Amino acid sequence: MVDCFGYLLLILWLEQSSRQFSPPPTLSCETVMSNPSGTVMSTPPLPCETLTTICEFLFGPTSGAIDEHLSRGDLFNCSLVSRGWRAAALPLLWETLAVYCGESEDVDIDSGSSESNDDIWPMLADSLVVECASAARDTDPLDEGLRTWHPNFDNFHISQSPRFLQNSVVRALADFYPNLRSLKLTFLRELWDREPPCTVISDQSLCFLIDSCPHLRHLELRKVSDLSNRFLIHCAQHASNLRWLWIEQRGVQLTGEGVVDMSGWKQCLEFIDIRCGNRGGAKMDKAFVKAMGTNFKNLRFCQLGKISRGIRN
Amino acid sequence: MSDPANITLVTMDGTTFTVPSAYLHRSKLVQDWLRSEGDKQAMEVKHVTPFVLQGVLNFCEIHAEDTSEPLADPADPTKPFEADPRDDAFRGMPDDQLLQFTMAADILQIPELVRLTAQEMASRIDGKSPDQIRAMFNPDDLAEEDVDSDNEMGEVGEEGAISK
Repeated sequence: MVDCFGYLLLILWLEQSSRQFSPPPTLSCETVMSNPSGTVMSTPPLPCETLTTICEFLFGPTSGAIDEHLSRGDLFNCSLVSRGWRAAALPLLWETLAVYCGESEDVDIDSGSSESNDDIWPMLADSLVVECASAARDTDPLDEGLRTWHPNFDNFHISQSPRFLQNSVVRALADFYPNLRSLKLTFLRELWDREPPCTVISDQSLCFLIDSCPHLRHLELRKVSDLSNRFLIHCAQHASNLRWLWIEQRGVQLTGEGVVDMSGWKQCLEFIDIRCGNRGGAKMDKAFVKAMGTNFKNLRFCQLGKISRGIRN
Repeated sequence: MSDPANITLVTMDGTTFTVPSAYLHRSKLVQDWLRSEGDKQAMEVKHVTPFVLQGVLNFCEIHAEDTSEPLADPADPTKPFEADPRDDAFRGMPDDQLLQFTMAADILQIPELVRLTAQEMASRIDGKSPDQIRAMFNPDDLAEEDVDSDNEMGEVGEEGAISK
């Protein structure tokens, strides 16, 4: 029924489009009084909210009669019209982009969708997942893509991809993804032994990320960083929405020494796991460990080195 | 305001329209203006041509007696769009006028008109390439940053566009 009605609308539109538009009848009240300048005014670009409304009609529950005729292809084409149209269309078009780089270094884009239509283009809005089984030597720098497209991911996850584990990627996220909620950068132990990342994520870039992404809730850095207490001091003070912090690294300098002001963490932190050195056995600063045991109303799990506070309810 | 029953709107070029205030009860911009600055003589409506404003006011006049609950959101999923024969004239207008009416509806914050014009724009976008959409709705007003982004997207725009 909806399908037929949609065709009817389409035919109706085709008929109408051949006609010259004549304005509706003149208002019954007093209207035009003067036009002193007679200047021609240009129409400003449509605001993002209105473009989003149009895009939602293209592919949304309100599209009613025409929803059977329109696909993600239309939304994708809208995303190529201009920057403003792209900003409106992409959040509706994309949900999750998963890029897997296999042994052959082919890049496979998995839409995670069973739909055959437009399945070469992934659904993506909230998440970007990048995973490489091996180092993809010739892959374009990820940070350039992030700076070009910036569809405002909420979640960003890179695993097993030494090529992409760059400070420049973190800086691009900080620059263009102020709504970032979750950042996971992970590297498996066996791959580290075989092919460690050529660079590691630094204190400076992560501090910048903390400052630029105030909504960050989940930060997971496993064998991708060589952080110092400088980052921990900054994070404890400023990451006021952080709920989950998991850092695992080989360097032993992340002990918590000097972390005094934890006003940021005390807002929301629920989970903290910091392990450094070989098998996470490096000793943590006693004062830091003691401070983590007090005045954290939301903290449910605390693992600092070999010391675990367990789970609270 | 000397006559609270009427409101005077002024387009950017100085053309004035005086209509009953009741016509614009669905315009959030006008209602806010009446509450905060209703003692002034006229309300300026920027970026709207006299022709477009007259069409918008015609829409408001046609729907002035409607008793339906005002839309909070033009894309409210709980209220499916239903074509109204009284709005046929709006659905038949050329692309450039439709764009201007959409903009005017957004400026005046009339969700019912935003819904109508957005729905019509969506139906015209159906099956069109990016270049065709640009020609229809984005002809001369590409901002500088849009031109840059078009250059960035150049080849993708030509080769990556999805056709049906």
